[in-house]
Amino acid sequence: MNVETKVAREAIPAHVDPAFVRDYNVFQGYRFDEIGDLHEGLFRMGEELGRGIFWTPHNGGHWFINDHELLFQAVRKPDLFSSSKMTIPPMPPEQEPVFIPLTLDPPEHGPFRMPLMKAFAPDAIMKMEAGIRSLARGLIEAVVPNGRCEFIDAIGEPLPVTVFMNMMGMPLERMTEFREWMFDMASDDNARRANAYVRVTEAMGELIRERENGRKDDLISRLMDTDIDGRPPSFEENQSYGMLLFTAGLDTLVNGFSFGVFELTRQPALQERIKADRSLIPALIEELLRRYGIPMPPRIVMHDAEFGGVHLKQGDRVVMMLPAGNLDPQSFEDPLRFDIDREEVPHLAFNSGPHRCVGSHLARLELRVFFEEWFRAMPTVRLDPEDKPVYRPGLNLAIVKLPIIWDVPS
Amino acid sequence: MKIVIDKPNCVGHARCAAIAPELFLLDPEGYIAITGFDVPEGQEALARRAAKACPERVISVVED
Repeated sequence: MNVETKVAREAIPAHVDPAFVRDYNVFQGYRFDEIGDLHEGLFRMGEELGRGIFWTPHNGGHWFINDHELLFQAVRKPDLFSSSKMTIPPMPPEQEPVFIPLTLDPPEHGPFRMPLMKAFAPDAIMKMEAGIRSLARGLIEAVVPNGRCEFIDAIGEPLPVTVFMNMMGMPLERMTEFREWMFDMASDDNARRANAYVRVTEAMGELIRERENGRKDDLISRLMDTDIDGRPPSFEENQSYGMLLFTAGLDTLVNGFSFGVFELTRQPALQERIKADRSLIPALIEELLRRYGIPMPPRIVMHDAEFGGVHLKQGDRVVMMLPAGNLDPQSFEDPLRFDIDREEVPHLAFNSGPHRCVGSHLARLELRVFFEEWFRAMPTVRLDPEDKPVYRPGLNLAIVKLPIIWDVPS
Repeated sequence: MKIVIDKPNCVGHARCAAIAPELFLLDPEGYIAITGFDVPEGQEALARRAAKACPERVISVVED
């Protein structure tokens, strides 16, 4: 299939070999209207357009990588693929957000990452388990008698957003605003994104000023007292920490819950099986993370180079399609099959290399506690036949509406 | 059987410790705390599984 012919030659930069051009808009998904499933679309894209590194003229023009092994190599080359600029379509330099430590490259990155590694270490987050459990239990038990819910509004968003706000020390009255900003940040509209970045930065600034007058037992206070090569972080650096935690930890986790519940609606027998044996929950979570990857982080090329058979030019943007890597049949047999009995094979859901998701242990904890409470209290769920799920393509793959029903226990 | 770990390249996924917490000891930040060990008898399969689960591929199994 001659897939590159649809793209006008003049839309392709001189250094890009036309053989590596594909007509793919990351904010529309691949043949999404026909396939109707974002992840299946990523798999089909690999089958139909190929796997490797390709260039698309959409959204300002950028490369994307959808091959598992090539992704594995690329994400551990921060000297070539820098995370210092992460917007697609590219924002003007003065609006390009700073997320500490994500938008720093090694070696500067290390000292800024360490305080988060401590705060999010496997042992450190275990003390949050009881709080997460009581929150999850409350949200689930509140809807069980209704026989139906829109999962994202009832549970999928409030759970991780509340955990995050409590951890940071943000006032819960601001939940609605937070949820709106979270939504705006996933937009392809630069004005909406820029506005959300400014609002979140301001909210973090207010919180930091409050803590300047008295620390509390929360993450922002601990970050303010941390040591970065012999000095505390500046006001702006603390705001950037807050920005990172907001953008990296909310939309991603909401969709972890949502895709998980979505998959359960397709598999009533799996629901029964896990209800009978809750020790299967960690395997469910690993397969969920593999089958339904969420973030596709962009990078910027730091110097001209050959990579994966193409010429890269300094300043090119590259989207790391981690969820597509997890659906690469060269690494995962029959990758669309959701199978909790797979032997554990490393997936890229939390990325790999120096920018491995620092919140991965908290994400796994929240997922485990959520599913434990879910299978304890919730009858077998199915999709509402009268109201369909709504997906959102983009750099974070998402379900934004998930209406489900169940038989109310007597 | 021995486990050899390329410790400087650990980024703290902690998947090894999730599978075999007694064998793969972590430091307080969640990175691997050791560079390797002799696998106790009877725990070879577990150690092998944990090594394979490393997303960074920094854990090697050295057979006797």
